[in-house]
Amino acid sequence: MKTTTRAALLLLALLAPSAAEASLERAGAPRLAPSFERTPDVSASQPAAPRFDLFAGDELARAAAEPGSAESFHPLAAVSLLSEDASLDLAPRSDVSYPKTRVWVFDVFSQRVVGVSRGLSVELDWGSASFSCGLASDEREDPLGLQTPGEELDPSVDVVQKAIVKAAQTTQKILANPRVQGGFKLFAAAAEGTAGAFAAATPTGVGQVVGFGAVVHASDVGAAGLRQLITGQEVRTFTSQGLEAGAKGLGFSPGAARAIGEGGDVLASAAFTAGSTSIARGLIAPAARAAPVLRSVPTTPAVQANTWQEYETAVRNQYGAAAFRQRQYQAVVEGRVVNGVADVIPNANVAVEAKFVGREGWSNSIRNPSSAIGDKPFAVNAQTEVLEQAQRYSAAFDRVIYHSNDLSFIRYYSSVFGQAGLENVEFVYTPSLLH
Amino acid sequence: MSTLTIPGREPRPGRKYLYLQNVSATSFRDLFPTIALSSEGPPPKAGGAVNEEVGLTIPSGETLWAISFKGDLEGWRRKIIECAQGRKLLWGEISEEHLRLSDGRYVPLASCRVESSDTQGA
Repeated sequence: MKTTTRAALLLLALLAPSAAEASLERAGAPRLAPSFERTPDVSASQPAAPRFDLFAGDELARAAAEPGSAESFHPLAAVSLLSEDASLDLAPRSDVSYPKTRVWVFDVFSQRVVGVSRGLSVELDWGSASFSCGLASDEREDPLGLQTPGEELDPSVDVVQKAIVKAAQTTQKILANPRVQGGFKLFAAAAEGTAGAFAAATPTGVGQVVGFGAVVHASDVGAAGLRQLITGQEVRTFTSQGLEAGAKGLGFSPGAARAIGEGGDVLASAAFTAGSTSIARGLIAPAARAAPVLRSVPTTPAVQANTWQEYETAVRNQYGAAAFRQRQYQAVVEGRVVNGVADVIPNANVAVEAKFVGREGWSNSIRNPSSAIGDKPFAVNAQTEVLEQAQRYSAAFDRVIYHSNDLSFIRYYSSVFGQAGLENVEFVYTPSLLH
Repeated sequence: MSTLTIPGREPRPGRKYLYLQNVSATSFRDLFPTIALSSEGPPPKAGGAVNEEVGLTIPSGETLWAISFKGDLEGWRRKIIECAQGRKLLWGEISEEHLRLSDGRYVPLASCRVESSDTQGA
């Protein structure tokens, strides 16, 4: 248990952003000014003999538990003893001195904590240095800061356990603060609102309804959280108050109605967030898998083009027409070997393709399966050919870049290509200015 | 030696290069589409091959044309070599600034003439 609590405190200490480190010589620096009565003068030429087991763990805590011994321990004593013990088969080192003990002072949940790292491992290679913690204080009589006014310090109490209890109590106080709770409300509202916005953006009726509900509820929670954060007074959401009023109308007692109001509010947050997240993930995840592109579509300057030929030429000119070469390729698509010719940027092995959506627009495009003619055989063939061409290019070349003047085309085929596993295909939006 | 880029001289991750003999760029364009279909062995399982339109003419006069391939690297290599062997053509690959030929010759790239049959994209 001791080990666990110490490990927890040590972990907290290591994570504490305000940690300050000081060498032993600097431990009494004005910034923190703790007293370190447990650490004797390092200039002492003869270290005191140790009064407790060496390497038993937390010598600092043991020192605290042994009346009268608190000022007698110094790790240098251990170093000297071991270096003189021939049975340990350790070559005594002439450089055994003790400049290496390091003391850290840091704040954990508003408690000042001192950590001592022994330098034994510096002098004795096989030795494992350990680390101990205690609370630091400026009080000479209570160097670990554990004594409350009027109370004698019980030396048998584990200082680390006490530190943990103090930290937990402080944490409870912090969490119970209305302003902190207001901050939590704001955070929860942001999460709910974000999930709701994603869900509302999905093209499904359910997603839009749930997403809209989540956004509205998140606004309510966020406004209450903000007011609570500013005023420091508890502010209830309109949702909670409305549910409470409804429950009262149904005959519930005032206490039960309030519980229903507050519980229902929390449930609403959880339900809206979970529902919106599920809806959004249901659509976003396949799209993300599907689309090597859509997270952000690179855009190049618009070109003047009325026809696919003009568009292709204009796109090529953006690269510099001389950069392009035609290349024969063979590719394996679904087990079949197919031949083709592509416009390629040589040396880089990049195939470039331009897809133009004309005046008819995407809603009437032959390549759009949702268009009026989208299910006609010739349209299906055209749609299939777009995919098969991409599959051939993807198989034969290192990169494939599709330019299109229509974002709907890009959105649709980036999904189609992604679902087909074409990971090296990219889209570029190159608008066309019809003239 | 020409300043044209010699395919395969610089390694590209996931892509390998072989050179296949033919008499001209035009006839090589006729030969290229048959490579993966040119023998009884199984075709490559995945990926593709590209006619790089670059030829190396070795000092003895033969010209070999560059093919790059990716995906099923072993499968494509096997098909290109089978294509060469079936037609009794030389094939080779670049190794340490030399063209190592299927007949055992080891020709310094510096002694080769590089030619391009590029067709500009239309």
